Amino acid sequence: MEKALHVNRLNGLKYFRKGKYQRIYWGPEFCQNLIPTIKQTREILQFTEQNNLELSIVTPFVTERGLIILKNIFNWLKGQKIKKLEIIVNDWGILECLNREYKGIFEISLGRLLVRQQRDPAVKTNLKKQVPFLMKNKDGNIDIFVHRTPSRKWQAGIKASYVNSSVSQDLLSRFGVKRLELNNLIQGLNLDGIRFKKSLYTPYINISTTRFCPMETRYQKVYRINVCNKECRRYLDILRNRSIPKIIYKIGNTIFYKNPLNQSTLNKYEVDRVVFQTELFF
Amino acid sequence: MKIKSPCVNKNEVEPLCRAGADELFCGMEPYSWSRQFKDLCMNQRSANASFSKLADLEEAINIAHKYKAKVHVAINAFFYLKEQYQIVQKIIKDVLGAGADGVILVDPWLLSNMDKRTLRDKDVVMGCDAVIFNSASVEFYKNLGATRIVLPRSMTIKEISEVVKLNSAIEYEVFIINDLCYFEDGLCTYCKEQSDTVTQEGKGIKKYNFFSCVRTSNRGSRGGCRTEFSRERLSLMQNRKLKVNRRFSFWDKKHIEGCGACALYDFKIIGITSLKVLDRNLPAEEKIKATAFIKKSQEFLDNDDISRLDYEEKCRVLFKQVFKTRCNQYDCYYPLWKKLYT
Repeated sequence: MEKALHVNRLNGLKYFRKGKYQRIYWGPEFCQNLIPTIKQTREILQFTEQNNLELSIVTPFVTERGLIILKNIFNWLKGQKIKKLEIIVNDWGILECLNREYKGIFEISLGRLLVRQQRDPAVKTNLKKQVPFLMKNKDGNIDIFVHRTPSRKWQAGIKASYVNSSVSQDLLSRFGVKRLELNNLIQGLNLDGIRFKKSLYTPYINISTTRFCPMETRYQKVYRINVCNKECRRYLDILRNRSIPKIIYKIGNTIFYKNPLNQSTLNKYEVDRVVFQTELFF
Repeated sequence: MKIKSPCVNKNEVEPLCRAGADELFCGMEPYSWSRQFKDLCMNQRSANASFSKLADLEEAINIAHKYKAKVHVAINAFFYLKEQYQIVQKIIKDVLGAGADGVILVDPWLLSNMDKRTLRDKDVVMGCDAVIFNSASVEFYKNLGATRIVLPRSMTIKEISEVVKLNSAIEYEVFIINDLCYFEDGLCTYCKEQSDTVTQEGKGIKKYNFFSCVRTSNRGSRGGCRTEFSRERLSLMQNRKLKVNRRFSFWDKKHIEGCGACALYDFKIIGITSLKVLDRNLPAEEKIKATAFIKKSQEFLDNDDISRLDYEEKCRVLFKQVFKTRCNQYDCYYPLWKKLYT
């Protein structure tokens, strides 16, 4: 089993332990404002060469601005002639671009944003029987709501993802996708019929992402786009609601919950790579 | 620019067309689907916000065609299960056979595997859930057969303009009013979560009525992204708790309605094909009001000599007249356009 460490900035390498990890994941998944520079990528490349590690470049969803930055990095990486360099794609545009301009140069993996699992932690509460509740109507009548246990198909559906059907996998193969990045969902995973290699992230699961950065600090009173003071590197919000079985972590433009892996899960899902997120970094 | 409005039943078609809609969009979830897959919805809205009978849809389409309006049908679940794909393809065939002018899709695999003869001369719209932020993504979907792209609501006017310039051989649609969602549709699983059907069980006894649902309000009566949280903030630099409001909701007084009428000035220059009025779940009067408001705003632009400032001012006055409230930055679809578009 291959173990990878996901880092987004150079000081994240402090979590690296020789012998424990065989691969480094480098880059942000959710925000184009945090795409590393070529200089930083060069340093990480040197680090991986020194420690005899494999490298995966993680890319977020991007606008034209981000696409240009990423293309510069890809061009530089192309010049380095690294064997088995992997790119993790979270935007269909990047997949198209890699397929058109860099065909055969990089190995492609489909990122967590494109695999599209059902990531709301509250889903799990719907699987078990729940107590009925009452609501008073405007006209004075009382509505009694009873929980209906969802059908087996629904239960299989919420554990599934975009890539379960063979049709979708055929299309992805056409674009050179060899691997999938998956979340370890609280409700379990349905990986039936997936013939790609699989990476599983632990312990954080991304629930939802926005471009309106919601950190609400003294620098930022209004939700906004494209104005970045990197508040995500300074603050972390912890959100709680008793109807949601997990604590929610709000950092940067994404919210997460925690669901660490255990050995039995790994054996069950036949994953060949585990990606460790040692901190909720941005 | 065309105006595209939402409709959920045939009664809404005529008033919406009269209010100025050139295109309509709706959902379709046949009874057979609901019976077979129960809570697995066929599109991003609940079954209540979709047509359930093909005959009703056909009638709605006929009324729309009388007013020369096109009808697009949303088949836009994030993904379908293996056994659902064939059924979805058949439903698309039926819907287009009933006279619909196009379909709104999200799933690239559904698009790539559709019979091209079925989609010939029809609009194939990639919905905002397809997450298309750049020209390469447009190219991706264009190569698969899309004829129109719906750009996400969080894009600024400058970003929209860049994408359109780089890939102008396809139609573009932008959001213009209502439903200014906080999260990015295609990167969020909450909406799909909310699309549950509440079924009435029996006739009820005296004052008591019985209902059943899969997603009960144990999750909070608002649920999903509208949940109210208690919040703690940590400083990552100083490793300590900070003082902030304990109560937090993503929707707290922000991005409730959404309006981008003043951006029509720029969209006309950029060459946007269609302006989308949102929210199928709204009451019909609201949808008609919003459609009429956008139509009137667009009419201001018929005068080619109108300056940007004059146009904005007219829009603001009209907004207050129609919605009885002043427009504000929290509800603005394109708040940064002044800074970012030159």
